[in-house]
Amino acid sequence: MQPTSVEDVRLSCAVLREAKAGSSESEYEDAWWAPREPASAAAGCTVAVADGASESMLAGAWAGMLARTVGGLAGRDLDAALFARLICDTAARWPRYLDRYTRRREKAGRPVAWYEEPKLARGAHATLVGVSFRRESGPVYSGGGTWTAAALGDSCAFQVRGSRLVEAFPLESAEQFDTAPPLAASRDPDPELIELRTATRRGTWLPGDVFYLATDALAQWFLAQVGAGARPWREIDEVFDASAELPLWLGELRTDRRIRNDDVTIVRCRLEPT
Amino acid sequence: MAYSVEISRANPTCFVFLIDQSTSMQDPIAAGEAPKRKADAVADALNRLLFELSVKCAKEEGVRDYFHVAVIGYGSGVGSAYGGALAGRDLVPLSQVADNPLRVEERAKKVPDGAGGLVETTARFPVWVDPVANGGTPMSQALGLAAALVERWVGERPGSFPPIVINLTDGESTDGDPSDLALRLRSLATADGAVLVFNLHVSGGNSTPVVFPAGEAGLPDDFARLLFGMSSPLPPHMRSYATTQGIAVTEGSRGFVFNADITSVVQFLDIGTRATDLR
Repeated sequence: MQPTSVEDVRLSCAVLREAKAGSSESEYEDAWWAPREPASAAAGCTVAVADGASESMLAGAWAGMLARTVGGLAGRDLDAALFARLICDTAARWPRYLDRYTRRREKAGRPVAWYEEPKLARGAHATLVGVSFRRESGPVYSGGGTWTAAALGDSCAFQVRGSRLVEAFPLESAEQFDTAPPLAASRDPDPELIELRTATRRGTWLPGDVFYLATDALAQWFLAQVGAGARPWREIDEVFDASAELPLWLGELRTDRRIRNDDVTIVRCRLEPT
Repeated sequence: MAYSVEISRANPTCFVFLIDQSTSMQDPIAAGEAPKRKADAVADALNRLLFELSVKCAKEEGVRDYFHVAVIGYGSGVGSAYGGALAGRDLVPLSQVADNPLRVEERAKKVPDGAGGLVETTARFPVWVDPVANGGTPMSQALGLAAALVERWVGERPGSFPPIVINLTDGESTDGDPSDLALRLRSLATADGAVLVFNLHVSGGNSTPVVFPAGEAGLPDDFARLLFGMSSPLPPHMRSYATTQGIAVTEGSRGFVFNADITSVVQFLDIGTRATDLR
């Protein structure tokens, strides 16, 4: 078939997020990075989602730093070595953040308590997934391009084409989730070990494809639905189209114990021809 | 599935610690070690358990009340072993426990120096309970008090993760065989499973430490066998976590520890994604 020329494809991202039931908004510890405005796939872009571990202190701040760092790749191909280096570079900035945090607490008349000291010393932990998008190069652009993804832990990315799930990454079934996923740590990260534990994948995208990046609770529900033969992205899209409904939708899932009670973040990335 | 309900601030569970403060606790613990009385060993174990529990639940705004905690001493009397601001209280939200130790000590601690060696530093260590060794060992009475607290808890919070009772003792009960009371405790339950009863046995015997055994073989004496028999089997998820921590457990492993560290129990409980380094 003769390729059809298209001008460009734009990556259009939207985010839904909700704190764990029973937690306040300030206790939400997921993070994401995605272009605020539709971005040209020709320029390349990277989207990231991170999930601060509940048992860590300052996990939300750490997740935010990681997501921003990976998002800064702006379309550069992701691989395990690069991912490990990014995590280590971010960890190198952590002591300065921690120092500022400690001084802020002192200034506020609320110095770090005895029970916080050992926890802060243990560092912060988070899962992290990133996907980089690039359009194919060549004299005639027929649409489409490549994506590369890297993940440490159980934050996931899903590629959907029409009514079909093309890829689930890095986990592929709901049974693979547990409470001890591999985590990016802010203290003494070992680049070789991170590289070893980082999952990577690469694929191609076509105009019209939709990618969903999600933290673990939603990702586990998503894969459970897929396993039961459903197309959960349709339900998610309905929520995106009426974002005020998110608390209601999640509330029902939580009440029915179909989803774990956890912070939820979903980034939807649509590749739209212009 | 049992023992799977989420532990949260909205749906906390409770710990009841029982600490033996009888005269026999003046005796030294296992020969060959630096001189240490049983009373020191159990007080230290309890303070460490409360330390780990508080640190586990610490977040930026303070310690979260995933647990309510009672500490019952038994010796010349039976009752709350809390002192200071918590004196006389039974089940206390963990944040209040963390904020109200008797005192916070500075203790020397060796930490990695980043170059393969160790360097000495100080760390703050809170103390809630001082060693006490006075009177008989009314273990049955203490278990009865624990049962009353737990019964109240499961009545008020039938949907919570089952309460956990941890008894720290040398096992020499002076008010009768405590087995029936332990059995009564273990028969109490929430919708998520039966109450868990664990025992830390401190002994002067020169026997090998034992951690979460599956049978009586290898236990050094009748006291150890009694406490083993009173202990609950470890639920599967706890066994699974123990295995990941390098602790050898099998299907019949019980929550019984002989002259060894029991603080790992705190890490068996899920309050969300665990903050563990890559391995």
